[in-house]
This record gives sequence, C-alpha cells and structure tokens, in this order.
Amino acid sequence: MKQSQPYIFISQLNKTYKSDSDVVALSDINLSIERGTAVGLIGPNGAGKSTLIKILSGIMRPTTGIIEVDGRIPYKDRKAHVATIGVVFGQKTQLWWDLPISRSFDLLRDIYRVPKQRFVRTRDRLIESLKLGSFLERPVRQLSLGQRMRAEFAAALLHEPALLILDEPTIGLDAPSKIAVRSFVRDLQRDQGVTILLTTHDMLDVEEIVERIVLIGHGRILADGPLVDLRKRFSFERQLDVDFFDNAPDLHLPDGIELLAKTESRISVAFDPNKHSPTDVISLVAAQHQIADMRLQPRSIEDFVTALYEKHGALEQ
Amino acid sequence: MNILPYTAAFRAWFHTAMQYRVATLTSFIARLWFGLVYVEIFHALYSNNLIHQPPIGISQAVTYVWLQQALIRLQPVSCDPEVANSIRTGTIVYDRVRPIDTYTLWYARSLAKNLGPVLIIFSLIVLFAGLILPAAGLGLWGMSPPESLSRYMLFIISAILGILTATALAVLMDTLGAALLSPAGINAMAFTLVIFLSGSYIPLPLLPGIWSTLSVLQPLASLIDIPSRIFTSSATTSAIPYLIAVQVFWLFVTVVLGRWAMDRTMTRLQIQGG
Repeated sequence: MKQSQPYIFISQLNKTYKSDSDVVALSDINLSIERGTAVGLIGPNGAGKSTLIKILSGIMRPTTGIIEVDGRIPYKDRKAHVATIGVVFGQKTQLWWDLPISRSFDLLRDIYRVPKQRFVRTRDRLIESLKLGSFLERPVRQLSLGQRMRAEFAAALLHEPALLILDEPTIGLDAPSKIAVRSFVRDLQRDQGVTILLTTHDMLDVEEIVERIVLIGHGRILADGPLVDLRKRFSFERQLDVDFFDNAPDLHLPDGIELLAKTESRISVAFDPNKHSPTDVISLVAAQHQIADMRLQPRSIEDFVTALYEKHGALEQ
Repeated sequence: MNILPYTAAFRAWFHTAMQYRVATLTSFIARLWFGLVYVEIFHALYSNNLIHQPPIGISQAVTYVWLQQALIRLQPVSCDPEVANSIRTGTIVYDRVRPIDTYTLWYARSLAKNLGPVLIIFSLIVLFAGLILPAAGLGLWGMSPPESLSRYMLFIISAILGILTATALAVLMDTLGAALLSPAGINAMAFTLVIFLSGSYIPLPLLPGIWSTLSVLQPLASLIDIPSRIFTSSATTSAIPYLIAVQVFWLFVTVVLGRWAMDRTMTRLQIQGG
C-alpha cells in the first residue's frame, strides 16, 4: 500500500560544512509540511535556518539524509524543482540593478517560460496588489527599500510558484511596508493556497503570517507546532513598560516577575502570563502611582528563543 | 534546449552594457593612442633594420598592431566584478534558483557585456586606421585590407571563433573566482599571462624561430593572433584551415572545461550568511 507523502518531506537530514574543523550546520532534521500551510522557521543567527532554506531551494546538497519537495529531490532535480518555487531573500536583490522593473519582469517571464496571457494576468494582478504602478519604469537602483521589496515579491511570484520561500523578507522595512508585506503574504496563502516558508527575527511576522513554528537551534529542531501551543508550552513571556508622571517607585517584585530596566520615570518588567495574570502585574507595578503611559507586548523573538534554549538546556541535563 | 531564456538575458545585459558608452569611447581613445605609439615603434625598428630577417613586412606589422588594438577588449584579464560581487553578497543564490543552466546564463552574460564594446571599438579603429589615415595620405601608418575577399570572410569566421573562445575563457575565470571566493589571485595571474599569450604585447609572428609557429597552438592565440594572422596574410592560405581547426579545438576544450568547473564549483559552493 502506497502512502501519500507530504508536500515537503525531510528525514534524518544532516549538513556538515567541511573546513579546518568541520561545522555541523544541521543535525538529524525531520520535518513534514503539508501543501498550503504557512510555516515559520525561527532561531538565532547561525542556528541553521538559512542552511535549511538553501537545501530546500536546491542550491545546496545535504551531507546525508532525505529531502523531497513535491516528490522531487531539490539538489538532484534542480531545474524542475526551482521552476515551481519562488524565493525572496530580504538582504539580496533578484531584480536587475540597471533595468526598469518592467524589464526585469519580462526577463523573468522568458526565464520561466510563462505563457504570455498568463504572464500579463499575473503581472497586472501583482502590480495592483503590491502597488507597483508608480515606479514600474524606474531602474531598481533608484527605488526605496520598501518599493524594492514589493517588487521583489512580484518577481518571485510571476511564475505562480506552489512554494514561496521567504528569508527575512521584512528586514529593514518601515512599519507600513512591513504591514503591507504581511497582509500580502497572508492573502497569498489563504486565497491561493501557496505554501509559505518564512524565516524571520520579527515576532510580529510570525504572529501575522504563520500557523506553525519550527524552532531551530544549534542545527537541531528544538520545537515544532502551532504558535498557540508553543506559547503555552514554553511560557511565552510578556513585557510590561510603565511610564510614571513622577519618579519611578522602588518595587519589591515577587518571584517570576523580572525587572528588565528602570530609568528615572520608567519601569520595564517581564513575566509569564500563565503564572501571573497581566492585571495583577499591572496593579503591582502601578500601585498608588500616577501612570503616564503603559505598554504590554510580547518579548522579542530573541528573548523567546533564549527562554526556549534555557528550557532545552534544562531538559537535556 | 529552449534558448529563449538565454537570448532574453543576453539582450538585457547587452542593453545595460550599451549604457556605458562614454567608457567605451574613452577605451577607444586609449587604444588609438597605444596603436599610434606601437606603429611609431615598428617603423623605427624596421627602418633601422633592428629586427633580424623579419618574418612579416612593415605594413603587415602595422595592420597587426591595429587589429591588436581593435580586439584587445576580448582578452579576459579579470573576473567580472558582478560575479565577484554576487559571491561576496550571496546574490549568486538567485542564479541557482532559476530553472535554467547556470553555465549558459553566465556565458550569455559575459558575451553580452563584451560584444557591444568590442564591436564599437573594432569599427572605430577600422574607420580611423583603415579609412581616415590612408585618405589623409598617411597610408604607411594605417591598416592594409586583406589580400582577398575570401581572406576577409575567413577572418570574420576566425574572429567569431575568437570571441566565442574569449567568452568561454572569461566564464572559466569567473567560475574559478567563484570557487576561490575572491577574484584577486586569478586577476593577478591572468593579466600578464593573457596579455602576452594573446599577442597583444608582442605580435606572436615576431617571436623568434619555432616559437612563432608553436605560439598559435595555445588557446589565447585564438583571440587576437590567429584572426590577425589571417587578416594580414602572415598565415599562408594553406595554413588557414589548420589555424581555424586549432580555434575550434580550443573553443570546444574551454567550454567543456568551463562546464566541468561550473558543476564542481556549484555543488561545492557553500553560500554563507542570511
């Protein structure tokens, strides 16, 4: 009996960089991803995210292990594989620097051999949804980063790929551009069923776009599951910043509430919302004092990841 | 193989290269200056009998000098800065996520970038040294046309083979630059070697004794020397088929070698960073 295989199937994948002393970039990676899901790969710099992305893109071959995307082995069947994927690397450009964007698009049409009618339809839809109309005839070197990234997304999608790989796509973008990119990617997955693989250091990217998180650290998968579950499992910490009208008071904080910073008029604390309710923490910090401003937010991805590491370090001992 | 992706890429890069017309014009003026200096030197050498039994006459030597200058842009003396840059920034990943053959793509790029400038400089030099100088009564300083139309045709075939081989060598250099992650070493080595062996320093027919004959057997002779020997009748008519066979051989070898190097480099390439 033949079992149907998931869209992306990775089993016991290892990658070692050969150099003076071998560097293990990925170790025993097992991952299955169904078509049409949005998955976030997170982890600190050097964790192995980019290596995994490059192997998935067919650019690099693993040292050992199995990887298949839609039944193809990316590094062996590179041309057929990459014809069905789109990639956006936030720190690199795939558009021709000296050419107007519209010429870059025409070139990509010829490279991917997109039939003319389909190309025109897809291109016009992307121009509209990414609002490229006003700078379509300008060369890439004259564009702002926000404009360029929107054009990069269009360039990655002109051949209507089934899988979109995004490597830090919002890095360096201003807030409106980030919001635009997030909602565009979300629509892409929801309306068109494109499978999304995203790496990012921006927690809001993760919250807005993905359904499932894969946490990578030291080349291993440390955690894998829906965002909500992970939060419960790994006490996803919150940060509370309180600004006072007068000097910030001295506080005696109970266990589990950590003082992050204290300036003349501001106090920042971190806490686990599963152990201390936000209401309690606010009243504790703000008690009897006039509050000028207040912010409650998730702690940064780095803090989250660091917390996860600590948990794992504890688990392994 | 569907060639549309490659011709489209070729057109885009050709169009880009043609945006740098001022650079091409400056390059032409430099070639003109060097040409005049070399012609002056050869006149001095020949009129004072300083070359022992010269194998080619003064008008052949002068024509050879002008062809050298006209074709000098063909020489791959350094890696394409765009390739070096794409290695440094990691943008090379985008060359690998296209559903096309990377070698052919790089070949199309290299050809597109060099063909325009080479054709422009070649035409301007021929216009200046082949038409304006003789018309101004300075025929001794100018180019002499080939002795027959068939030689002209064979020169064109030979020059095309030269351009194709030059491109294959350029892609090979780019690939080695990519493999070593830096073009500095390749560039330092290539410059002296290529300039000498392609005949753009000393006309290879003027090398002493057997060296003149042996020099056509190495790949770089294909770029400037062999076409120039055919143009100036320094090569006898019966030798031409052999010379062209040598060019075809080296074109084949450089392409096969380039493809092999590309495959090896791309499977081993470890693209670093975000």
